[in-house]
Amino acid sequence: MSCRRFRKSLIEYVDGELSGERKDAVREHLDSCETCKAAVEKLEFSANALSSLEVVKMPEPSAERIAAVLRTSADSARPAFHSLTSRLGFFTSVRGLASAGVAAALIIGIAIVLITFGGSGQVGQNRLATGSMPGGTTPATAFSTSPGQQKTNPDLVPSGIASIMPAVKVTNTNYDDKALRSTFENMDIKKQIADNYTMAHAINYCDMYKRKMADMMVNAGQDGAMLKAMITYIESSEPVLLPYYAESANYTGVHVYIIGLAGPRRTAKSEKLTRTEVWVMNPAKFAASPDSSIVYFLEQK
Amino acid sequence: MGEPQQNGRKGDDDALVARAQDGDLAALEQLFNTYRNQVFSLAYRMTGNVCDAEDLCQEIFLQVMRKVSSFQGRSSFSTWLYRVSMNRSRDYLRRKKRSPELLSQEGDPPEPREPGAANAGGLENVAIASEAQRLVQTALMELPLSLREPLVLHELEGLQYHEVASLLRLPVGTVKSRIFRARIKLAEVLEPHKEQWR
Repeated sequence: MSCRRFRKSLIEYVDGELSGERKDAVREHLDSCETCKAAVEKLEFSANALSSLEVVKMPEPSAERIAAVLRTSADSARPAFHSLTSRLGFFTSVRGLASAGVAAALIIGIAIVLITFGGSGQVGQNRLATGSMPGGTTPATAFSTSPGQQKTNPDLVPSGIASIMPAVKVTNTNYDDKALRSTFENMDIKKQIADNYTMAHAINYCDMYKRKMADMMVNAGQDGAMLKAMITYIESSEPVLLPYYAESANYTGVHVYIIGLAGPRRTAKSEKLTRTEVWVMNPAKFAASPDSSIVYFLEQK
Repeated sequence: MGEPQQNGRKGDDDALVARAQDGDLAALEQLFNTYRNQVFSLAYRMTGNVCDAEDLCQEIFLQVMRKVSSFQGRSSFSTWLYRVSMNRSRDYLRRKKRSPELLSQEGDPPEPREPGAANAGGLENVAIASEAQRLVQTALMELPLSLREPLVLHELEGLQYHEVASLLRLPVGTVKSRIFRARIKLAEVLEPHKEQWR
């Protein structure tokens, strides 16, 4: 037989899955074929190397985060589920919920346009101030970590530039378009990032900032896993973005998460993170349909 | 997930799936707890780092939650879970590929990137235990997806050739040939470090 025909049997030979005449035939062939003999050596070596790998267990914090996301998602789907499950089943109810989400997003969109042109915008008081500055102004330096908590990988921090920490707030503020623009225009952390950080920072720090912000949101008694899932969703379509600010607040009366991310300008040659994207997302709808959970989007160049 | 299911396990899964299809969150959580390590391990082998593996796992289990009602029991739950995992993994890696800036991380070994988190909950425990394991994982990431998928499913998850073929919708002969090429390539990549396994 040719080497080509033996090749298919070599793995089984090495893995001890051949017996009888077939095994003898392969062994005989190997005595006279250096090419197949070398292949067998490689197969044995790779089997040995692969056997050193073990099951990698999911870290507990990861398991807790994912379980929390599953619970939140299930809770979001539950009302529609209960109303339809007996006759139509879970899948149909989820689809129904998604459709309802799209419809609700449209209604909210129309409401936003009306309110924006009406120029209203009430700003409330901070209810819980993790990472917030006194008076509810800019949160740029509000969050700090002790050296023990510092999560920045020193290897990734370009020398000579101080690390800028992300910020998270929980407030009762009821934003509208105007208030949101004004908040981000005057935000210190945004300016610090624009002045000091480049695309490399966005790429290297992205995961770290996302996790830190999720932790901070949990510390503030809010759903950190939801925030993390939202940032992951935003970054799936635009990877070079650095999340640096999150706020649990209201937008035209709806509870939302406001997420600020910095990226490079699309047309400029500079790699500096001078562009800001602000995503306003409704956590109650996110699990059913991330697309329909987007309440408002703002881009500042 | 990988080993052929015993009747007891399959019976447990069937009961849990039925309850999950009725909207029982506790059943879903039980399925999550039963399979989370296997799914995470698979995700880690496919993505090459802990952060991506976590994100991918979240996507997989969310997908399971959304689609569990469409699971009709024609295969075992674990086989179905493999299919969901592989499909999500492919999508995930495709999305990452669209952003070449992030690809540089793909082949990296898991990093204890967040010492604070590691101390709190044990990311360090996940970090590869030995240099040999780190080298193999790095070598795995050098394989193209078309070779990595069948290799991981057969060699690390313990699926039979025909099961891999069914999952990946490939002829059995193609699966065998890809695993052969994957193992040869793996050996060539690891050749300079051969002394690790002596």
